[in-house]
Amino acid sequence: MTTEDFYWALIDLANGLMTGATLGGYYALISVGLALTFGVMKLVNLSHGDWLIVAAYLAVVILGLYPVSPFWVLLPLVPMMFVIGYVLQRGLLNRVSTFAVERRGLSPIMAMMLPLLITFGISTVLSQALQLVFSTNAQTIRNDYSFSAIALSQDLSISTLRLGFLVLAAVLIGALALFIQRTHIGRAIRATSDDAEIAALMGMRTAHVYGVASGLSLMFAAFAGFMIGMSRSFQPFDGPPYLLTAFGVVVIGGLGSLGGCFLGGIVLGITQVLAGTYFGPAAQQLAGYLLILLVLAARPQGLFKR
Amino acid sequence: MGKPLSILSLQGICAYYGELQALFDIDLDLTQGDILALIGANGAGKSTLLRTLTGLTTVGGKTRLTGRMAFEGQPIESLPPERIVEMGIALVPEGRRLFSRMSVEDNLLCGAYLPIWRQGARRKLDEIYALFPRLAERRRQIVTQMSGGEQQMVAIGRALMTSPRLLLLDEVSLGLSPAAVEELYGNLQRLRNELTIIVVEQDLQRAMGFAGRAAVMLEGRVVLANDISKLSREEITTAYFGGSGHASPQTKMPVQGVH
Ligand SMILES: Nc1ncnc2c1ncn2[C@@H]1O[C@H](COP(=O)(O)OP(=O)(O)OP(=O)(O)O)[C@@H](O)[C@H]1O
Ligand SMILES: [Mg+2]
Repeated sequence: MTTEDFYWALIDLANGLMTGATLGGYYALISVGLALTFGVMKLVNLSHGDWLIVAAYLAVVILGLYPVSPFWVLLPLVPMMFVIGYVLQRGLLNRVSTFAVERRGLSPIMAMMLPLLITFGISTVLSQALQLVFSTNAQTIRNDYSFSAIALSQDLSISTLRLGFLVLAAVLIGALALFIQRTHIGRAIRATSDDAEIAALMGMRTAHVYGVASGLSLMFAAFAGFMIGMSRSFQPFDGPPYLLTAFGVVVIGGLGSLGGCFLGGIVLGITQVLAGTYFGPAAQQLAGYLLILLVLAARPQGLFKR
Repeated sequence: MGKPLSILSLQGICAYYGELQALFDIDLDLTQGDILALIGANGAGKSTLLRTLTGLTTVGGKTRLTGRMAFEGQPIESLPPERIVEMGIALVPEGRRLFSRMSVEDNLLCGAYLPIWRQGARRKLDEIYALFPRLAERRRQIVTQMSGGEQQMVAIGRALMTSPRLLLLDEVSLGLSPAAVEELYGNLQRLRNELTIIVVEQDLQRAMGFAGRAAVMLEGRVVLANDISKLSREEITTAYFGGSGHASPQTKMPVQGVH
């Protein structure tokens, strides 16, 4: 191998790792909401992907009404999605949660199936409604950052937007972890997820706590949907593939763990990009799914769960 | 001194787990400062009675409750657990049921969740650490890494964080070494003057040493209740085994109890 070959091999590897890591931040942000509702309520939310798309559309609508710099849209979008999540949980999901269904004395099979059926139904309703309102034309959040990149050396550069989202993911997930560790309501979320009955004995209103957890989940869907809209185009029926990616990340990181979610996203991103670099674009998706299968077989508790 | 204040009054309490009736027509009155030992064989309904007092049997469709309960004169039979604890009744549940992934201090702070308690949470924590000095040294430790006795202290501390006036203790000595039980009851002695307590305790000797009154339960009924000074050991054991002829012997469907 000549020195030149060696140089390019290194550049390839560095590029793959960097692109993979930034893609990973993106994956992590897409998955946090799913990890959260699963971790706290054991709710497998099949409509998670569709909420990302809803958030992206809402961003486009708001920016259509108030044409400001796109990042400002987060200001109304994030609280809006929190409220939607809270209301959805209090109004509907709390009534069909595994916990509630078991308490009503229905069979365990029902208790397992009902939340799945309901969230699947929500997924369908959301995508159909989006199609009705926006038709199937692809949309995107127009911005000036899409093609900008930061050059690290002559042959190495990194997408500004992607890097920004990696940092955003780290900061937001860190903030969420702190919130859950340190605040009263965060402690109530942990307590309720561990033993809802005892949490109630401490004065915690489980319905409210679950509402907050769902609100936080959709709040992160707002960030993720914004990010999707900023970096690519989207259509009403794009939700399910994102759900699939999020499932993968959650499996790799360890069900319900937030830190695991972040690292899981990065591992998945790097695996995909490196596979793409060395075995061609077709290998990218395949490598991701192989990794997920491998983790499920060898470490079903996830790579990062103690 | 005036007439002692009634703190708890139960009238005709019946509780059901689905089809199974677990409590039959329970009447019970406690005055402020009473220490009541609730005695009875496995499955007699002691835990169900304590859970009923905290609102846990009114929750959901599988369990059902009839009868009247009043705490400090206020009806509580239809209140959910999160309201009852706010009024001043706290349960230390059977089997401790700590929040297993949390530290000692986080478990305790869960007891100070409601806004009205948050203000005084720090002071309250210091009180708990004074009562159980062992916990002060281990405040950052994850509770599952602690001994059974220490975990029980956390469970009691967590209940005390809710500033109760009526404390319900369900088999706090279960599975602990004699030394640990000794230490625990030593700590509990200091609560006697401040609280009204109902204690479920399998060790009859200890129960009678700690409490001032006793109630014996048999198959979902209270079959004997009196001041301990007025009860003989024989009376209690006879009632415990259902030999007094007091209660009609019931045959119940064996049901898998969760606790
Ligand atoms: N979750 C439940 N579902 C159905 N039945 C239950 C449940 N919990 C208790 N039971 C039944 O109610 C009755 C009273 O049980 P309880 O736990 O109150 O008794 P206990 O006096 O506390 O017994 P132990 O000394 O074993 O703790 C028993 O017949 C039990 O099988
Ligand atoms: Mg019991």
